[in-house]
Amino acid sequence: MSGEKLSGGFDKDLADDMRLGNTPEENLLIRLTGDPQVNGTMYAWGKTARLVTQKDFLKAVDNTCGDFFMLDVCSSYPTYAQMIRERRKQACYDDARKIIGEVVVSVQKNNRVFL
Amino acid sequence: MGKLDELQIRKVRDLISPHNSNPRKLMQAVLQDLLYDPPTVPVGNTEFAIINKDVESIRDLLNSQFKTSVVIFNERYEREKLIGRGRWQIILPKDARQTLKDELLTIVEEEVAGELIADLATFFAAKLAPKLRKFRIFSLDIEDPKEIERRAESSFPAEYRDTIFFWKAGEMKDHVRANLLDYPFQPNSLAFISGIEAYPFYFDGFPLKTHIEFADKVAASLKPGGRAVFFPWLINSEKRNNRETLDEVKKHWSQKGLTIQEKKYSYSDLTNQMGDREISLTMHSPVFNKYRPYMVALTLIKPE
Repeated sequence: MSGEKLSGGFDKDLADDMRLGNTPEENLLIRLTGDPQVNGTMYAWGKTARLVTQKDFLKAVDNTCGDFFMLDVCSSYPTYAQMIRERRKQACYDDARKIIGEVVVSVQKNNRVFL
Repeated sequence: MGKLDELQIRKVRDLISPHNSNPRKLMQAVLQDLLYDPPTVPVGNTEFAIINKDVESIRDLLNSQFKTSVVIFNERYEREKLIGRGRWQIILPKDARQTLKDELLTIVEEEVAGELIADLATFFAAKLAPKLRKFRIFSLDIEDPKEIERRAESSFPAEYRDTIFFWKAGEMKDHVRANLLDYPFQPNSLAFISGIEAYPFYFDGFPLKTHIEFADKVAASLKPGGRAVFFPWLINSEKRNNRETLDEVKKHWSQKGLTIQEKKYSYSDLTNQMGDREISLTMHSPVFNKYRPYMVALTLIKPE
């Protein structure tokens, strides 16, 4: 045990044990790009990510004001981000249908509120 | 609309009532576009722009759009055989460029068509204005996007790659290449953050100071009422000091006034609802390849 510290306070013994890089950034890069069988780069969770986050995502939509910006970190291939985009598009499509439906019902009832 | 007589009202009703009628789809396309990509107005002389929620401006925009050729949209399902197990529903433009006005001119005179469009625009503007909101979904990864794409091309099954969904994800819209620890997001800018097999899973060996600095950036970047979900809430190497580090991070967030919730998921909770590809991923994922009786998703909530 050398007790030597690498840049950023990273513990060299721990790095050696885990066959990591010499800096935290290098460590992270190796973790994320090293062996495709055991790291996240080939995974790109989609449905699982959506189901684990769905309830909180909807709460965030309801409880925040103004622009809604979302960030998916360490995304790899951005499957989950695209899934959210598609669901947003679907929600807009559904909203538009609902509003048109109100007009159609109004016309069908010959309702002078609109016509 | 006082000029519409009973016969004309009946004609309008017959024109727009069928679910798949062109006039209905044309109106819907205009509204959908506006909801998905709302109009903005610049703030002063800066490049910054805000959503224009002024009802009269929206009415004028709709009035013009209903007289302009628009692309109508259709729902489409991909991977149909996988209903409930990973089927994708996407909205796609259908190549049919027409105008609502042209459709109305088939049943009423030009002046009446113009008035009907104006009334529709007024009605829709009042409905749309409160709903308008800019949505942007960012993804972030430290790796070269071209390398990410190359690996996806070589590792995703063909039935996934041969889809519009996969192709659209590959456009890497709003994708940021950055080191997560540099975290290029401004305070109060994000409504939602997700980290799936991300932070803190791969952040082994970093000193507590680095974790706390990152925790501060996450807390600051969330908007009031915003949330962040980190799954699994563990560091891959489950050493005692790692558990202590994560406890310190939670304590730090609590001291900053954020609420923390934890939800446990058993292995079967997760795998039972996965699609084919994700089932195969679990066999390789370090999140799943060690036996753990359950895993925790941590939710961080910033007060409104």
